[in-house]
Amino acid sequence: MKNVLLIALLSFTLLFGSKIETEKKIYDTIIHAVLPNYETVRLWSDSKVLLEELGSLRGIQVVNDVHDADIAIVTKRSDLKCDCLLFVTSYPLLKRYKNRAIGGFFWQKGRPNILFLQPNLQKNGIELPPSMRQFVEDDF
Amino acid sequence: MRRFSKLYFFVVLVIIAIIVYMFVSIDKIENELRSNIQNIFITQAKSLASNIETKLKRTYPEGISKKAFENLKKRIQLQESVELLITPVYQYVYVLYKDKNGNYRYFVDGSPFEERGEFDQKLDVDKSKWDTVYDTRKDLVFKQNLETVWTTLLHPVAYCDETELIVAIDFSMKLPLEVTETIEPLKTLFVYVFVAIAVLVLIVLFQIFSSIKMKKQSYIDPLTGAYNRNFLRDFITAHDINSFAILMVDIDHFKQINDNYGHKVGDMVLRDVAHLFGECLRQEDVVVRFGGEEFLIFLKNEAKNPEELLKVVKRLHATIERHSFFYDGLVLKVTVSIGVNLEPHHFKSTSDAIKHADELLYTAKRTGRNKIVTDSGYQQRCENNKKSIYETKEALEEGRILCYYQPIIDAKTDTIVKYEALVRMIDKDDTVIGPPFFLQNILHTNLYNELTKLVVHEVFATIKRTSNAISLNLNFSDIVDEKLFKIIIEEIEANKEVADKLTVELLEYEVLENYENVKKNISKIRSYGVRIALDDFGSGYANYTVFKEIDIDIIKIDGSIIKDIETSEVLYDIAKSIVVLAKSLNIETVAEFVHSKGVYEKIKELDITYAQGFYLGKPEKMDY
Repeated sequence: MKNVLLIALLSFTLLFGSKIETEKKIYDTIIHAVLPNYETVRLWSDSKVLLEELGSLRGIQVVNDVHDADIAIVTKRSDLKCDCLLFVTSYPLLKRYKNRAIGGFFWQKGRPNILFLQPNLQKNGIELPPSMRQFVEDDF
Repeated sequence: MRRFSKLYFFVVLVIIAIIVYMFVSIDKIENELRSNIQNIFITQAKSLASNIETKLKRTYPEGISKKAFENLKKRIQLQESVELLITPVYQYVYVLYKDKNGNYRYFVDGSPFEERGEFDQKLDVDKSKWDTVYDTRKDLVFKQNLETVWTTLLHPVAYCDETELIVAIDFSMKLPLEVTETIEPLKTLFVYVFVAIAVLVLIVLFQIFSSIKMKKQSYIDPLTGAYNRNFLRDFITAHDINSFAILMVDIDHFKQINDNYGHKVGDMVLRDVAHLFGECLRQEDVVVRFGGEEFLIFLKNEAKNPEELLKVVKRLHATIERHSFFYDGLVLKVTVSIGVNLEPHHFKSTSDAIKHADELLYTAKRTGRNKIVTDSGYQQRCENNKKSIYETKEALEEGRILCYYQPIIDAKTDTIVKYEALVRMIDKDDTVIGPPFFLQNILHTNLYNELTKLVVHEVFATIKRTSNAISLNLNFSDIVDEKLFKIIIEEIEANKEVADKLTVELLEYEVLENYENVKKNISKIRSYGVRIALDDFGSGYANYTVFKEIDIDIIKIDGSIIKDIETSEVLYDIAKSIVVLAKSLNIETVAEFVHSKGVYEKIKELDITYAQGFYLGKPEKMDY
């Protein structure tokens, strides 16, 4: 049911919302699916634009230091060192951080694409809700 | 006018309908054009997908096996081929396979580098549609709700009835935009056409409005606000006049108002009278200023109820009579004479019906003014073949009015001593019509003067040609009327050498008021040697004082006395007394209506000087 709702949400937001709003909603869903027990999730990103967008979401607290973050969204290649969860915004980055990143969200051919890497989810003790399981890749 | 308005309205409606139809058609045409262009691209895309399928099957003739996945070289070659198909319209061209989890993954992607998926990379797609193609192995084209992709074509690649790959071609959003841009000039052209038509319609509407306004203005008399003759012309053409009664109204003594108080007062009276008409009459009645102070009114008479109509006419008449006209301290009272033609349907044309109303107005005016004269007896008069003024005028102009001559016999010698000229109208069908049928209507008109002149002229011409003495009938009023008397005197003057052969027979039935004038004018006539006879003596207002005032040469004893003289002693005695009176006054006598030998004998017995009647000779044309 939640799966249907997510798809409906994606379709609705694609139809009537802007790309940014869609992104915000998808990130909101992903972050709270990954960290379901966090009342406030501390978020860091190397993209100021993304931080501004996501900072307005309820239950998200933007932090400046990646070491204070619960989850980091990486948009470009870097030697990032932190213990927080890593999420990327492109397929090449996902390959780059394939041993650390729990997943990625990016646009391809106008379509929103979500990928979760099962090994890294497991490493971090994350169990996604059933609605998200279709996006999980066992082998990458 | 209404007919024109309806026509204009219809034309405008048709133009608007055409514009609306064209506007709706433009959208339809645009949609059809868009659909056709899109179909061209979709058909082309299907061919491309088929070509890719062919290429795939040539490259992997035995299907997509594990080996195929591992042969990187082949896939790169294939990808290079697919890349060639990318255009601004075919934004993404790629081939996906379905993994064991039901996810779709890239096999080959010819899309631009930044959007290119890697081999085996999962692509989140609308699985329901992709699965349909996968299962049915049929092409599917569907619209996308994506920002950059407008439509997607899915083409299955099957091996042995098993779909192994799906070729996908995403159409760019540029396609519909390009179609729109292609159609745009056409739409712009149509908009210009619409604007041009709209402007034309506005101009036409303005012209129609101006034309109606001008036409309305051309219908209105600016002084009185009543309709004018322009309107009358169109009105009688467009309306069934039989549903109206026709009134001809004339303001009495209007010339005196103008002469005494000036034209401004005259104009005020005309304006106010027209205004009073408007107040008294109904919406469906029509008031036309016919001439100077003459108004023509059409009273709606659908009920054909003359009593009701006459009530309206009387109310109109009384309203004007009661009204006081004020101008710069002046208070004027005005009356009107009205001729009412209640039965216009008796006439051949509207023009004749109006003329008849005019005749009735003349009757009202000549019989004292400030009165209403109706034509309730018109039908009766028609039956009596009475001729209208206009028929009489026509006859006069066509030379169909002439004199017949009845011999007057000396009762002692039984010889013709003179003739009485009797005016006759020869009708168009050669019927001879006597004066009672046409003379009455033209009394007090210029036509009567013209006719009198003609008769006097003809009588003198006959006297000159035949040397016969001729008597001529005139009314006392003819002698009193200055204009007519002048005409008569001019004719006598012109023929004074034979004037002594003329006898003027004066009809006595009219009451004489001004003896002085009569005396003076008769003396003038007599001064030329013309003899004066008193016609129809013994009937009507026989007034013996006439002998004291006027010199009379002959008395013509009325036919009503003579015709029964043979059988009636009273009439015999009356005739006898007239003869005695005449002899004592040294006046000759003429007996009229001598219709038998017996009557003629009595005439001789009574020693009446002359006799005249059908027994002695009928009125006939005189042969020269």
